[in-house]
Amino acid sequence: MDYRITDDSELVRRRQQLGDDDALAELVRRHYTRVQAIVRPIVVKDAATDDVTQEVFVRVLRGIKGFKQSAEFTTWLHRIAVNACYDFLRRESRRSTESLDMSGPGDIAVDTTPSPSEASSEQELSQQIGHALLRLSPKLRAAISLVVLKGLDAAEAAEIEGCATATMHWRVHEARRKLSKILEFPLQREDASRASKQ
Amino acid sequence: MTERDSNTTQANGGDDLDAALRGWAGSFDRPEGETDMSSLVDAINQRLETPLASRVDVAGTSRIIGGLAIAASLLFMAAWGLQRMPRPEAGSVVNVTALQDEDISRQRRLVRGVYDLFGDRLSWLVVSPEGMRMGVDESSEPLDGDSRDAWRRFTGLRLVVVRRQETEEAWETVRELDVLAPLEQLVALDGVRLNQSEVGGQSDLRLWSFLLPDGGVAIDIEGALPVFGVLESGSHVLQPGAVTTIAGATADGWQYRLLQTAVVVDTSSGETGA
Repeated sequence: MDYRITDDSELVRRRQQLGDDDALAELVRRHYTRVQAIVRPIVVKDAATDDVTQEVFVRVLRGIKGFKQSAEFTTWLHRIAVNACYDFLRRESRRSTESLDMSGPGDIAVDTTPSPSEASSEQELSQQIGHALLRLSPKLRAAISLVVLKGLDAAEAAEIEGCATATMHWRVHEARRKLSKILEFPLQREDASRASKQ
Repeated sequence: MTERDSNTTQANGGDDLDAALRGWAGSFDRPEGETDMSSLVDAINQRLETPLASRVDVAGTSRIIGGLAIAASLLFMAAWGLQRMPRPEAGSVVNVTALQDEDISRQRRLVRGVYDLFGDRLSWLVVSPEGMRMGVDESSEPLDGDSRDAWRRFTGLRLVVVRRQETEEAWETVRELDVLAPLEQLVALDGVRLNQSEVGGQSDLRLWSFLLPDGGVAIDIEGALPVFGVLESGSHVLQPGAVTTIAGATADGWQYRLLQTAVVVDTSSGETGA
C-alpha cells in the first residue's frame, strides 16, 4: 500500500483498527514537525514540547471517532494540539500556583533579563524571546503560534480556538504589543491613536 | 462620570518582531532525516498502550500521598509546635472574602441597567466607593463582535488593597474596586486611585480576562500602582471563591497587599460560573 497517497484519516483508521505501525509512521512523518511547531511557542519549554506533541498524536489516535469527515483533518489536529497545550499549562499552572502561595506575595515577575540592545548573540535573543513568550497568557501565545508563526489567517485560527475572528485579531494585536514592549522591538506601523476624548 | 475606552491602540506592523519570532521558531527546525521516526512511533505506541486510568492514577496517587504527608505535617505542627512558633508572620491569611451572591446580583443588575442605556457601546464598568466609571466604545464596531453576546457572560473582578502596621497582625481594607467586563475585553484604567491618602498617587492598570478550558478564569493584569510599583505579570489563574495575593509592598511602616478575586457572571441564566 502506498501510504504517501493515503489520506490522514485513513491512516489513523488503519493504525487504530489494524494496528498498522507503518500508517502511524506516515502520520508522524507528515505532521510531527508541524504539530511541534504549534506546540513549542505555547508551552515554550523544550522538554515539554516533545511530551505534549506526542500526547497530541495519542489523542488523535484515541479520538478519531470524534473527527467528522466533513471537517479539515489539519484543523482538527491543530485544535487537539492547542488543547493539549492548555491542558499541560493548566497542570503546570496549578503547580506554580501552589509554589507561589508558599513563597508569598513578593514574587511578582520582574524583568531581569537584559535588553535586546545588550544581547550580543542570536542565542541570547532566542532566550529572550522564550522568556518573553512565557510572560504572555497561553491564549496570546497560541495566537502568536497559529497566526504569526504558522501563518494561518485569523479566521482559521479562530475556528481552531473556537472564538470570534475579531477576538483572534485582538489576541494577535495584544500579543504583539506585549512582546514588542518586553523585547523592546519597535512595531513597524503603530497607529497609537487613541479614540477621541469625550 | 464617563470616560472613553482607551483600548483602541492599533499596532498592525511588527515586521521585525515577527521576523525575530520566526527566527526563534526556525532555530528548532531539524532536517527531516535527523528526526528518528521509529523512536517517535515507539514512544507514541507506548503511550497508547498505557491505559488512561493508570496514567491518571499515577499522578492522582502521588497527589494523595503528597496531601497526606502535608496533612500529617500540619497535624504534627499543631500538636507539638504551635506554641513555639513565632507570631503569625503570615498574617499571611488575609481575611478578605470572595464575591458573595449579593455582590454578584448587584453586578448583574448594574450591567443590565447600564447596558440598557449604552447598548453595544458599553465596554466595561468600574465600581468604587466614589462612584462608577465606564468605558464606552464609540468606534463603529465593537472590538469583540456582538457586545450583547459578550455581555451575556462577564467577569466580575474585585481588587482589594489591604494593609497593616508592621507590628500588627490584623489587616484592614483600604480600598475595594470592582471591575466588570466581558471576557477578553481589555480594560485600560488610568487615574483610578486605590487609596485616597496613604497609598497616594494614581494607578495605570490594564486588565484582561479569559476563560480556561477547565472553566477557570485567567486574568492578566499589568500597569503601575503607587506603592506596589510596576505590575508586570503573566496570567493569574483564579478558581471560584479563591482570593489571590498578587502583589505586596512595604512603605512608611505599613505592609500592603493587593488581592484579587473573580467570578464569571451569566446575565441570561442568573447563574455564576468560573
